[in-house]
Amino acid sequence: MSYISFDGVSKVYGTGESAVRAADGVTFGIEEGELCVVLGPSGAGKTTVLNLLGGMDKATAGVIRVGGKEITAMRSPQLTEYRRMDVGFVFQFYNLMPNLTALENVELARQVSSRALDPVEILRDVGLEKRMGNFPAQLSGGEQQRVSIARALCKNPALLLCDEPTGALDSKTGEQVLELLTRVSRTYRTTVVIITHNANIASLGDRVLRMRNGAVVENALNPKPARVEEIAW
Amino acid sequence: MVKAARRKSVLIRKLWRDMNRSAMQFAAIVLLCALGTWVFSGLDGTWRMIEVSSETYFAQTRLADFWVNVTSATKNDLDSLENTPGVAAVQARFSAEMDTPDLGDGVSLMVHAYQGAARINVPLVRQGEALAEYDRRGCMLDEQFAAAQGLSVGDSLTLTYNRAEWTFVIRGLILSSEQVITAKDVMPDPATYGYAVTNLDAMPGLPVNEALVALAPGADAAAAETAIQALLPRALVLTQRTHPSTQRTRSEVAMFRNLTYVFPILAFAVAAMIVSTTLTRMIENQRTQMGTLKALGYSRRKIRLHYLCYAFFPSLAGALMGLFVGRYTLPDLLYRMETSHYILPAKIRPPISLSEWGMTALMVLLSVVICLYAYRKAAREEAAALLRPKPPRAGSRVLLERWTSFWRRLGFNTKMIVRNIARNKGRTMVAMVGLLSCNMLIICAMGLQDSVAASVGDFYRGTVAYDLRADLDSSAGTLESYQNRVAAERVEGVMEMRVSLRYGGESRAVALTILSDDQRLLRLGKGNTSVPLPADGVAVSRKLSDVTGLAAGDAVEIWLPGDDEALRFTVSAVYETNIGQTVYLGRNLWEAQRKGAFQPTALFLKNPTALAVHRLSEADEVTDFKNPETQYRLTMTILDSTTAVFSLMYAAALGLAFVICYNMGLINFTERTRDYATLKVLGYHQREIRGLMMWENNLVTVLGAGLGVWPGILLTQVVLGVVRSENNVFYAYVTPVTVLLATGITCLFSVFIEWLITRKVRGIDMVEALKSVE
Repeated sequence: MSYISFDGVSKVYGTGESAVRAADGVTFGIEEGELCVVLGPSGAGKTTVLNLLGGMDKATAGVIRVGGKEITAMRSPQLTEYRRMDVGFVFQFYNLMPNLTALENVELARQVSSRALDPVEILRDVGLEKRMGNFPAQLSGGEQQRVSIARALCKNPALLLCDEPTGALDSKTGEQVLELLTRVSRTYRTTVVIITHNANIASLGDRVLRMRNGAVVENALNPKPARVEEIAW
Repeated sequence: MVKAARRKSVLIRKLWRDMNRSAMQFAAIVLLCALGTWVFSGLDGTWRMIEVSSETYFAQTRLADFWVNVTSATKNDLDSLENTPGVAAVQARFSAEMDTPDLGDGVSLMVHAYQGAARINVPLVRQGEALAEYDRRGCMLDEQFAAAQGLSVGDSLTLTYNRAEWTFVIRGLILSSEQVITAKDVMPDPATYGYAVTNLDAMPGLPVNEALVALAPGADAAAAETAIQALLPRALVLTQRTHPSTQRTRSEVAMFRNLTYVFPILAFAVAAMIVSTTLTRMIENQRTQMGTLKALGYSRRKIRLHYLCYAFFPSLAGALMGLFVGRYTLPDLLYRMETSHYILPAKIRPPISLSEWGMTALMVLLSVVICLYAYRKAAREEAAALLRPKPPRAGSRVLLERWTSFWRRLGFNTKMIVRNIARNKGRTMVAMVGLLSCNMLIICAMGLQDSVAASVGDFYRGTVAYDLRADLDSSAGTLESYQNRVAAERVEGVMEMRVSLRYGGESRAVALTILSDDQRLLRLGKGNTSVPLPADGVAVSRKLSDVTGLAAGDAVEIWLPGDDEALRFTVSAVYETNIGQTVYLGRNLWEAQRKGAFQPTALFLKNPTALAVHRLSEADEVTDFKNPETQYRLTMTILDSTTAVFSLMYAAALGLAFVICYNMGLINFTERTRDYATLKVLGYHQREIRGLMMWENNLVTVLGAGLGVWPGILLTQVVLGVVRSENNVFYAYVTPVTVLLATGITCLFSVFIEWLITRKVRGIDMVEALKSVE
């Protein structure tokens, strides 16, 4: 069985005539340590899948398993524990705490995780050793995204979920962020899921999931993932 | 034209929907504006209601302008009075306290026997009929007294005075405008004291000892008083200002009028502040919509008008609501409380005063101006800039971080909270002011109760050192005779009478208390120490000194009732006693005046034996026993009737704290939902997030409540200064226990509000809250 498995997962918002099926019988599997790119146009259900996978939302139907744990059977406190111990999140708009410095934002993750890594070490690793004392407003978009990744990594998660991590960045900083994510996947053997609507990014992944209208239309392994510098924006 | 009309209606629709969506915030504005005008219109309405009710009563019954008391007035005296310039009418009568043997010991009536028909101080008949001018068998009786004694129209009433006795048939039950307050001692007690009206013809042999004088409209009262005093130099002239019942009624009105300018201003200021924060926030949230309207080509004027409606309608609704609700709640409540002591025949509701309308308009104006200011600030930028969301306010280092050694020692959460507080200074400040005001009001309410209790207690438990007071009538023996036969640790005597005190051209009816020079059972010195009475002059009580301005060294004249020659003294001391307008005179000095022997009107007993008390109680001349502890409790019943005022203060304090803290908490929560959602995604448990919020709130609570302590003590002093009583001196007395208790209540309440707000953490939808800003 795959490390991550979605089995007939649906998510319906609203009821009756106004019901929207954001995910409609999604079924797929991802192996441990893979870098998986979920590709699709806007409204395809990518974010819904990511939210369900990260325990931020509850599925209407179907079963989701991660590392043998059935996420869909968990209640709220268990989901919190799951997010706390197993999942790292990276958002398109970073979601840093504006009144905490870069270092403190990363420390925020250490507050809740028992197996957290050293925040200073991680920030150094993402190339921000000189910006640790700065507040988010004093950092560029790329730097903020790197703090956000550092915060996710600090928890030493088994699963790193990234929602359009380069969506708000220019190509140069976008490359740096992707470089970092691929390196994380290779060095720490962390399972990384990146969702994007940018088809060029797809070639970076060990696996590419294509989605359309709330369903997975293709689940393909990429035998030879490209390097970041090889992809064209 | 059609286009313009449609555009307008769309904006109005937008306005209503905006209000609907931010219902809580708009409700807060409505409520706070209501609070501001409610307190004002309530207190303003109260004093106006008492004033118009009492003044109408005074006018209807033609209350006298002067009460001229003499031993015996001749026909000539009365004619001269009538001919004094400015005098419109004179009513002759006999007034004295009489006993009612059928109604038991200790019951007496103030009897007014009118010569001819009553034309001044006309009794208001409530039941039965008015006394006919030539009726020699009938009387009219105080309604309250009759009710307390179970007497009704047609019953008979026996009066005795100087061994003469009359029996009357009660023709009617009445109220009298000169007896709004009918108190023999401190407190009105209709079971033992009241008043009755008869015809003087029915009591042959009694002189005319009082002339009631009514002035012509517009007459010069001061000149008339001087003329009357010159005409009858021995008379004790009371004016409406010095007539106890009338004076107390009017000072009640003055007290509420003064209060109208203490609490409402406070409520108004707080309301204005919160309205300001709420409106500013709402306008700021409309930023991109403002940009959109601008981009669509709406004129500045139209947009401004649209946003001013945000303030205008809710504040108008709130202010009017407060105005009307205030008029029908507070005045009625306070009037009912007041009239448990003061008897007025009818409650008259005054029309809405100009100042009430003014305050309402001011509240609306203030809200609109605040809104205009917030709008100007928000709309300064160009349309394009407005369309972009405002970047979140950047975090920054706080001053505390410079103190590195201390900062490092703080926990991670504490650091985060300190930065948050520093980032939202304005809002934190408002929440703090809310808690400050709450604690201040609670301390004040408790402090007022404590102060009155302490001041009254200081007299009956400190100044008074005897265990029992036995009142004696005019057949009492000498003090020495009692000292010889009453078995007690100490027996002292006091001789008390009402006298006219004249000083610097003014006169005032006061109590004269004559005591043995070496007495020890009234501790009149500072800190309740025993002091000998001055050998060379008189001493005055603190209250008398306060109201008359008399100080040591001033010359005073004392006119004994019916005497035609004044006693002249210098004031030698002011005694710090809390109760009574009293002149103290030593027995030796009294006897040196040769105005009669020292005949005690009451005995002070320290540690009397049970047998001694029993023997005294069987003696004919002992009319009553008074126990200081009972007196204390009786006086404290004044407080019972004011409980409603204090309950109101507590309610106002907690209401204020609730509206402010809940509102601020909500704004805070809404603004930080994204932060909390991020924490949730990071795997923070709900209780951890709630813990963070509570930590922050607790810090603000402790600071706010703490800062309210000093203003609370101050407010207690201010209110005590305003709520002056004619008879008592009240010192602000706020104990640490009170402060702790009040602060505890404030903090508990804050925690309750915090619980309401932090409950919302459960409802944060991570997906919704973190949706990308697209």
